[in-house]
Amino acid sequence: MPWAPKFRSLARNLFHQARVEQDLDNEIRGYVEALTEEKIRSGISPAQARREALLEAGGVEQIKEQVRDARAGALVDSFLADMRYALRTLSAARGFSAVALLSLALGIGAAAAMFTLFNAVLIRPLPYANPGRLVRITDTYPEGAAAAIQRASRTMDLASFTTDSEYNLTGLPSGVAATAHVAGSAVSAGLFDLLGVRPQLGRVFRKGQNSPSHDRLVILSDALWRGAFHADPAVIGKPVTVDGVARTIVGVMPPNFDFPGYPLGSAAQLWIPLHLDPRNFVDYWAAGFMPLVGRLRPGITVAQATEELRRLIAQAIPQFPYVMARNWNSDAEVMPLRQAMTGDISGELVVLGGAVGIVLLIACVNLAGLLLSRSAARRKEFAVRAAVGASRRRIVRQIVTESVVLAMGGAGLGLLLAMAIISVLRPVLPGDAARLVEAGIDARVPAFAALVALLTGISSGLAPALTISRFDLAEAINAGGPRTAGGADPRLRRLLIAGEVALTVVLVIGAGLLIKSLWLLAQVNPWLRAERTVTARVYLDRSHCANRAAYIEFYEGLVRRARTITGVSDAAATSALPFSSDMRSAIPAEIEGQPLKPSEQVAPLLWAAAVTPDYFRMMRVPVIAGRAFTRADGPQAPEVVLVSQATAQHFWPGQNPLGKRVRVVWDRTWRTVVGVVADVETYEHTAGLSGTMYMPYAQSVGQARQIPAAMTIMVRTPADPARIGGQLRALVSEAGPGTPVGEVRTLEAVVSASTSQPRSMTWLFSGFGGAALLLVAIGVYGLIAYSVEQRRHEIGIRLALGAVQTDVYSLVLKQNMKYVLAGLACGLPAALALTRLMTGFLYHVSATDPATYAAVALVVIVVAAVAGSIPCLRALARDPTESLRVE
Amino acid sequence: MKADAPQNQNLLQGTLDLLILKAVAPGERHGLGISRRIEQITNGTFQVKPGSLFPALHRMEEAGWLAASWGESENNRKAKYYRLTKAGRRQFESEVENWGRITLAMASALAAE
Repeated sequence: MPWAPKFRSLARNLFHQARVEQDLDNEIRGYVEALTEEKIRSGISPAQARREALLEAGGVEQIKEQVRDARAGALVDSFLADMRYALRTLSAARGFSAVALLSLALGIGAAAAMFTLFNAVLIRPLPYANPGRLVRITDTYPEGAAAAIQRASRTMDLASFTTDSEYNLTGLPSGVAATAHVAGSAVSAGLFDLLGVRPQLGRVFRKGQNSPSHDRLVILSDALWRGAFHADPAVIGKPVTVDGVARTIVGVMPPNFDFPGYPLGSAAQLWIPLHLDPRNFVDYWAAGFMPLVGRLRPGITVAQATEELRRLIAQAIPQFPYVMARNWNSDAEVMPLRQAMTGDISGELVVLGGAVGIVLLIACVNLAGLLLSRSAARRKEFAVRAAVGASRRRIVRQIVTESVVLAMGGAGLGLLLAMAIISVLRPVLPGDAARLVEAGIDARVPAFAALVALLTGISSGLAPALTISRFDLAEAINAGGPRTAGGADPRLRRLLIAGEVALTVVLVIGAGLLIKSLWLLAQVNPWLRAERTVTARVYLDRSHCANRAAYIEFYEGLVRRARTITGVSDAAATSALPFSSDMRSAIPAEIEGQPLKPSEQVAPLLWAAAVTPDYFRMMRVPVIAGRAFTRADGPQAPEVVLVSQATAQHFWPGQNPLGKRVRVVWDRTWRTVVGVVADVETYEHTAGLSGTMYMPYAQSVGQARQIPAAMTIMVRTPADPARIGGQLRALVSEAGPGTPVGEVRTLEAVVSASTSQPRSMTWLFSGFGGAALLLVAIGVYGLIAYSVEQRRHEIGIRLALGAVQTDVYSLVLKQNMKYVLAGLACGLPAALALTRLMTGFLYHVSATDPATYAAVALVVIVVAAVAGSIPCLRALARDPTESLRVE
Repeated sequence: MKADAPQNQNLLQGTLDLLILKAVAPGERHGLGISRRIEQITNGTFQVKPGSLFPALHRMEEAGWLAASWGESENNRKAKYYRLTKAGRRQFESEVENWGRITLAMASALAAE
């Protein structure tokens, strides 16, 4: 078949507009020349002849303009006619249009949603100057090591910063709340210059402003400036109190400034200089481990920077005032900031991108099948139109207009669907990456959807357009009846169906595994009764309580008074709420008698919660061995801890954990294990943690060797959470005026938020899987309806000759189900290979779970059989004599 | 042999199209050829200027009545030739019929007392 010339002619018809100008110019010039020659022949001198010809023609440019107008008018006319005709035929074939629109909307919607994510992560430029030279240093470093590396580096300018810090702001201008609790970051003074971002007001930190006597400064974000300072242009130089320390406002950053931001940390509202005091060597070398960001110096490659970094880390290890593993951070790496962004969520990108690709592919295959059948059915219509004089080009344009109209409709619906998918997609991404997705919604997304729609429309319209441009008119008209209509090769359609089934199996198995995993996740902690527990986070100011005793008194008093609220049956407080994935509660610990092995880089991280004594009773966490905390475990009593069952087994397998001792690395005190409590499942899910440890609040130590200042108050009550929340707030402001209270949430809401990532992943996948099943059902229905229609005559004869209905039914169905089963046979091993990518998203269920595979296979067969039976049964219900008369 | 040129302005809507169709009905012609042919068959009554000829030609091509191709003119110049398509021939026939009806109607209207 000569496809190439057909394609060329089609392309010329579609894209010929560009050549029209040139042709028009040649044509008019030819006319004038011909006229000139005519005049020369009549005896006028050449120069005179040319002048007269030009005069007679009346302005070449003017003519061209008139032609352009006429052409455009005709084009618009015929385009409008094509559109009207397309809309009419599409609304006549309502079933076909609905199915095609649905296929397109699903495919384009999923693709547009994923494009939004890719746009955010890969395409949109980072909001910093010359972002290509910015790098992220892997792992985290204490102040001392960071400063040493920063000083010594010749390949990079470096800056460190704290992530997820929170600050209490007091002394705000009147008119707004007098206090605010905001996210912030303590940063190296050189950070802003390194990023190359200028403030909209004031200035950034200067060199040397990290030293203890010069660091009483703060820079505000645009949002904080507008929210808490009324966008006061004279705010520079004014004082504000941050966590009890009076600071001077030196600058306001521009609105689009976002730092740390994904992937470095969550967005900050204010920045203060890091307080670097080498004399306080415990804080300097142990208090907080921070990430590093850098800018490569001119001419330096990432590899050179990495090599230097590892050398500098090795040189820093002997400077630690405590023993540091010799291979600490020896695999540290310098990587471009952009790469760091994708690396972090590459798992999600691959799995979701793959799923979307499969849906799009199924949608396209389905659409191609539908269009092929439809074009076969319309052969006669096209033939008649051609016979009455429609040019081939006109018919091709008509077909393509029709599919482009369809595709544009699909794109519109798809964009709406994309918005819905994005809202489900956001929680799938870890922490701050979700905010990125919003940033990714810009003009590129609708443009992308329109482009995909146009390509889909043209390419899916191309197949039928090409088939009609090579048929024989007379044959097509004479062939006529459905009995003999050749049209699309049914074998091709069946192969398409088999492919669709295979792809669907992969997707539905992925969804099935996630659903099973989510179901199992909901079954953990059966003893935990999340309902009827109200929680409120209290951010007590560091300056508010002068010493440990005051903190202890504050929170014990608060818990005591909370118990007196009407309707409250129990109350407790904890520094680390279960199910909130707050990594600040993780603390490096040393186990007595288990020194660091050389293979371990840092001390094991334990989830450390400081709790009031009634916590375990209130949360219904069973004590498995030993005892829970009592009031006697006060500040003066011997230090004690509880560990979870899994932790006990991890560190002391086969031994009695009671009496063993644990020490927080920056603390001198050895704490004795006095009891073992049941595992709280989500702690154990957090990667990188070795276990869980509980301390009585009165004896506790948190980050920076201080008693935790922020605690979560929890009360058990059947009463309305909003009322209880209001009373808790009142209690807090009574006990410590101006102390911010975070969102009041039920524990149920906290638990549900903690599983939002697996839930969203499951939703998305189930949605994609459901869409794929629906598309396959439509495809199988369409295929069998088509083949039944083609064989209507034959079926009529069989029935008339006495064949039993069920025989005919099983004959037709069997013939087509063979292809469904073949698709299944291909899909199962493909799923085995591909679902391995999903291991990271599955809890308690293997990626090769046989039950899921079997269930999915069954579902696919049932769906295909039901979808295929409908047209069969409808054909059999018809009177055979009528079928025989069909022509 | 030239008649009054101003008559051109009063060409009935559709007349020019019909004349063009008539001019190319026997075979393909280029722009100047069509213009001269119309002049010839109307005994010089209608002189079609390029300002109205070319827009009409392109409009009719877009409508699918004419098809165009590039060829060599009598004196070996590249020229764009127009010919009737099937649709154009049908259009021509129906317009001829129409025209007949109109002239008949006009004649009887004017002849009436």
